[in-house]
Amino acid sequence: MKLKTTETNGIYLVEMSGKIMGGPESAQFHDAMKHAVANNLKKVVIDLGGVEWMNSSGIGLLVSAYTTLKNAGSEMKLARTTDKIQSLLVITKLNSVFDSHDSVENAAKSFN
Amino acid sequence: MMQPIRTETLNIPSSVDQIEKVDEFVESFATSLGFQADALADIGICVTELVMNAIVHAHKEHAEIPVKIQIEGGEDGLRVSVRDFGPGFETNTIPDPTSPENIYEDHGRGILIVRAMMDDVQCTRLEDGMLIEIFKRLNHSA
Repeated sequence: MKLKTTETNGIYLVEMSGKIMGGPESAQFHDAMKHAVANNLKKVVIDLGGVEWMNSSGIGLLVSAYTTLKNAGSEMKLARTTDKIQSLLVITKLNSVFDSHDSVENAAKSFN
Repeated sequence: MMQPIRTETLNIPSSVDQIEKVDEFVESFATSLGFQADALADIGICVTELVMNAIVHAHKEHAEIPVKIQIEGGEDGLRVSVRDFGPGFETNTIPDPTSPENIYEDHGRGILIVRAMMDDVQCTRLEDGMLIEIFKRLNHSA
């Protein structure tokens, strides 16, 4: 898994790529979420367009981020979920929890 | 019953930094059997799932306890077994991760995902751990 974060126009964009399978690099994602909370970043977009696949460890990262941010008064949106990830969200019924968008731009526009 | 034409094994210490090695091992084997990208993803998801469960939940990341992975390839498909030496569990006691009270948990979805993506899943609780066997059919027309 690779991770890249940027802050632009009030949007904290977290771009994930590769395979997300629960290796030691998961700590980078948790650190990114801690950064968002510590810096009071209210609008977080997780860009999954470059993710080949994820197992339940990756799904767990997304759920953990969602609850951490929500508890801090922030919002998290998903962008560019691939067919494989979408099928995982349907299997786990998390498609009813996460707000997913077909592009980063549309995810950014969807914040209240 | 699948007739295996090739079998390989991999034993790893219980450390999460081994998971990429496991993925490469299984992907290489499955690719050589003729699996295509979508099925390769399913196999990668499920095998890393089971191995992570063994490392983190069964062995609590005690590196000295091995996780044993065996792959059998045949004309029908791929069978993978993951053996751990933890306390074991009964699959029918796993809480439903899709229920409203569990949906925000950050764990507990592994077996649900594996059952959805594989053609057969067998979980056997042994005296000294768990043996989980999964089978993915090879679609020759794909």
